[in-house]
Amino acid sequence: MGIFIALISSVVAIADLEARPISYSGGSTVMAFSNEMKNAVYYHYSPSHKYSLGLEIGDDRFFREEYSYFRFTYLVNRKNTRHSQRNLYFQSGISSDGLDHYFLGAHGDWETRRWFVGFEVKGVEHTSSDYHEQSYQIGVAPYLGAYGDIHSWIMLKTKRNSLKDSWSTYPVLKFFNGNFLMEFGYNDKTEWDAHLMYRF
Amino acid sequence: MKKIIFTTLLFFTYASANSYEKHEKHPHSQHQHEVLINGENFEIDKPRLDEFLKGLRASQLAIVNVNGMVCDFCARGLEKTFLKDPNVEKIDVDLARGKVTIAYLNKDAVDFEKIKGQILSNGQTATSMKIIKL
Repeated sequence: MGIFIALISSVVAIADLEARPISYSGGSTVMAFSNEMKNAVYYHYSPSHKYSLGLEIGDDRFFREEYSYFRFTYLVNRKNTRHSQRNLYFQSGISSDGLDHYFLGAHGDWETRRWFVGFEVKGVEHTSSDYHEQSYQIGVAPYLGAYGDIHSWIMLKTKRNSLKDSWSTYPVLKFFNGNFLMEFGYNDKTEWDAHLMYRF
Repeated sequence: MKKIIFTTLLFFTYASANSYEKHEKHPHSQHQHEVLINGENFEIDKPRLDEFLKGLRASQLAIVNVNGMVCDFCARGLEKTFLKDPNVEKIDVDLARGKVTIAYLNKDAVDFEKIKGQILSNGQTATSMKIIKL
């Protein structure tokens, strides 16, 4: 499993797991992500712009086990204006281990071409130990690229996992071009926090 | 993994710098024009439109104002959605002005409700549309 994930991670590019949890109607997305808690790949398909269905498989670095989730994400609310978009998503996943291992959460963001603000909260029912995660992110685009250019974001992310019981705050760089998106951050506590995404 | 990330970072930093430089050399304020279409003022980037029209066989254009088109990555689906239609020859996405221009080969009346649905399926909201006959 580890080799498979590393291979996929190498072939795909780095992406944000939750930044675009639903694609356009009929669109598919494959992601690879790696942080201090897990290495995983996630594929989802969006039958409509309102929801996506997917499969996440990975190595849990905390519990030292392999896992897989069948995931469902639903767009609860979206507000489009001329210069901004605001989203609120419900997210869920159930493990292949059984009904006593699942997660529920919410993800929200607001962005313009220049600014980004986002959050994510997630509660995980695990067979060994229940826990919750939360993260908050703000970002600014140093320049406004045109359609087809490479777009860049400089962000600040803070997150906490109740298993580690401490906050970690670090800078994150995000780039996307065409159907590729990559995001990564680094600090002494979390080491690399990397995400790759390809949409098709 | 670290080597991959480092190499990718170098590439994207270089490419980002190029994009920024290109953008700085062509500020949008220098080529904004208002063009009279169907009796109403409608802000259009004339050089951009001229470039779009080069080599087109299309018989009409639909220029659509779209809300929520805040990033390149989220607008990608628009291209895929519209180019599935055999009557669509080309599409242009203008993030700065929130406009999508669609070049239609046929002369049939363009259905704004259908376009609204296609744009909504990508997550954005079409608010108004102008047609240019070529």
